[in-house]
Amino acid sequence: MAKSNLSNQIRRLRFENGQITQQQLADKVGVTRQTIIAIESGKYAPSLPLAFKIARNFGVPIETVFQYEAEDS
Amino acid sequence: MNRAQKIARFNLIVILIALTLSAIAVSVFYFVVDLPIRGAFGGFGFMGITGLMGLSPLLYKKERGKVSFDERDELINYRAVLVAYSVFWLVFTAACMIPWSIIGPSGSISVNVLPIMLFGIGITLMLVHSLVILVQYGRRGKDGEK
Repeated sequence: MAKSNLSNQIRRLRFENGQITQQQLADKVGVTRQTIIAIESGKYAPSLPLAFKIARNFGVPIETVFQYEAEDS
Repeated sequence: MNRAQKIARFNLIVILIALTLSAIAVSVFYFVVDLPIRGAFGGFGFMGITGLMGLSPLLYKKERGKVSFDERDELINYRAVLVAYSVFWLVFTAACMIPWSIIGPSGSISVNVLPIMLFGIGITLMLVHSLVILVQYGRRGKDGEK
């Protein structure tokens, strides 16, 4: 069975884009701060629309924000 | 702690208080007051406390202009509902089959059992739903500041 692994660069991008807080990012993309925390820590995989919103907020392609690695176990 | 967690916590506390008081009342009526078991079941009147759950949306109101429920909360709620209904079916099946296996196919039970069963199902749903919501938010990190 394939095991999925989604990593992200949100934390780094937040600091590179004027050190915006998790709350500010959450407000911009229309979610709660808890969701941003969960995404950043890899505990929650966002939906595609939310992933695109986050990427567009930083002005980068989605692949720059999220990386997907599949491992066969 | 977000609104969904607060509501789940409130509902869980109300249900646990109602169950505890009911258990104590039934025990006291049966063992101390020496009432027959049917009379002792009057102690379940304390389950009326669960009506307080209806106040939870009023106590924890949505904050205007602030996102309080998003796709992650929706997913957590969906899973909680799924687990709650799965448990409900188990309880419902047990509630139907256990009396049948004890009393036998030619036995009879009071129709009063039906509304009690309905109430029990409602409480089971709320209890499991609240519990699963709290477990999911807890398990998915403490939502700590970074």
